[in-house]
Amino acid sequence: MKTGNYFMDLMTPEEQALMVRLSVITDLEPLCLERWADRPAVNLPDRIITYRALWEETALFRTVLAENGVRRGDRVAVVLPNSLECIEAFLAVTTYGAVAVMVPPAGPAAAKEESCRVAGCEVAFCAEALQGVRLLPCSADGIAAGTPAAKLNPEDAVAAFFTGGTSGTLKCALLSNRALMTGVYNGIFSPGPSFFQKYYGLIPFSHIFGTVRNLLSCLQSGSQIRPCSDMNKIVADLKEYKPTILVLIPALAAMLLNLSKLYGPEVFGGELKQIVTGGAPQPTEIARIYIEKLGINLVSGYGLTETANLVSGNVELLTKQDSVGRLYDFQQIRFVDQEIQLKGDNIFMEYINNPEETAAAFSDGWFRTGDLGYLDEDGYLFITGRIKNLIYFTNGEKICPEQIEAKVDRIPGVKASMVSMKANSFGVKLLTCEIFADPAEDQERIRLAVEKISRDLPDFSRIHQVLFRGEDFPRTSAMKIRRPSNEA
Amino acid sequence: MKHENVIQTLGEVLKKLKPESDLSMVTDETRLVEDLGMDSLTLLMMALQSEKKFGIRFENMQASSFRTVGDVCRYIEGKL
Repeated sequence: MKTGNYFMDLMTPEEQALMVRLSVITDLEPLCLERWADRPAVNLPDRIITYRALWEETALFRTVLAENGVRRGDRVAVVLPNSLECIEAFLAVTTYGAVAVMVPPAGPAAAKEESCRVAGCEVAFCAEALQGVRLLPCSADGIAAGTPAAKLNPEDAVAAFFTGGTSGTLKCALLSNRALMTGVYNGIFSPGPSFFQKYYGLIPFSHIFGTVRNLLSCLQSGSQIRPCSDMNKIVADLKEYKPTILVLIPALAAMLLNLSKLYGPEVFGGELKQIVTGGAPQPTEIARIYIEKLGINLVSGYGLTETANLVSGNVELLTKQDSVGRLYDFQQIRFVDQEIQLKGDNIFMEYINNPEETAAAFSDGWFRTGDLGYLDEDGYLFITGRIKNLIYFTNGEKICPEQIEAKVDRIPGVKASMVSMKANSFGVKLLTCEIFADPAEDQERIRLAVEKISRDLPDFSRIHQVLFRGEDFPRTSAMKIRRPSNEA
Repeated sequence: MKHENVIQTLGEVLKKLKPESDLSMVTDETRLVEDLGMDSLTLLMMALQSEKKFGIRFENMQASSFRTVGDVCRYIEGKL
């Protein structure tokens, strides 16, 4: 049945009937228990946890919080790799009425301690000791009785995620229940089957994409998830678990495609129907191979931590190339000097303990995404670059490096590229295109192709240096290229 | 004025335009745009400052037609 709503119309009438918009996370428990209590929720290699068991164990975890003096509104760091314990800790903290601060578990203890300090967490679920933070038991063993969920309001804070983008400044974005659950609801829409799927928890839950689009959209769609705590297990896991949907960043989608060339398409397990990518631009050519050669639908989306993960989704990557798709409901968009600004139910509350950054993030109540873009005549959003990545020249001109990179990345043999100001042997900073290419490729051919691209650009934005690197670029935890500061 | 002196004085002009640079290795073959990152504005500034330094005039000058440091030196030497 056509509803006139773009995303709703992607679904079958049966699936449309299952869509419910929740405004607080505590509504997730009764929904699951009423509709799919005995379906598998978490799929581990050695056991299946049903929805009923998951919520029972979550109630026991809430008792752990109560017995350790955690109060409603407290910020509790969850510093765990993707695992059943991480899922239960997140659900327990949020449904208890405290705020789950999701801290990346990888890296040195000092980084985690800094995250806890920035977010004001005095307690944490963490497998290792952290200075200045009291650890909570990561297990509900020995707990006899569960604690009921709190009564929450949509405006209450529920979770927080770190965002530094590629700038390196640590900020912790606080989300309300309404924002989080708006992201979860929008995340379920897809052209393939959306309910009762088999998800694979590859993106860290410490990243909002991992928690909202992977974990919580999974639970609100009656699906099951296999948490992946060790990337080395991917090949074995996919073969044995046979996921039907994968939520990935584009770099991982490309990596898995390479694996399929090595091991054959059965590397995906044989039941994969859909891949959802986000966090970075999705190259059309990768999508084309998945869709046309492997019969796996690949859709992509755009969003930020501050927008509860989701702003728009593109389910037509081959016809609406380079677009990040249509806007999800419950938000308004405007463009100020090309910058995308948003208002709506999905927008975060504040950066914790950082009123200056919070104030700078908003303009007249609109969230400044820092991304540049436009809507085409059909309502599809296009991103043309990020404000903070702009390169400013002394003559007042500025360029958006991503626009050049997008062209360079299309040269056959180029795996990744970065345009930045880089000093040459004279110490002069020149607009430079660094390229990570397949070692078997002819570098001179690629160099000539870059020069051809450069000749078509305005004078001030022409590439002066083309450098080849023997390894991939340093990347952030979200697999984005870590950019240097760009001063011309 | 000897060629070495012209290139040295021109080097001082360029250093003012590109203060972050190390121009001790500049030769006749050094390319203005590709190696020194000069654009139409800095090429114009180079011409104007060279006029002052060398006491010459760049007539009907198209600064952007110079490709290398050697091209500029030869133009200046022809005017001295």
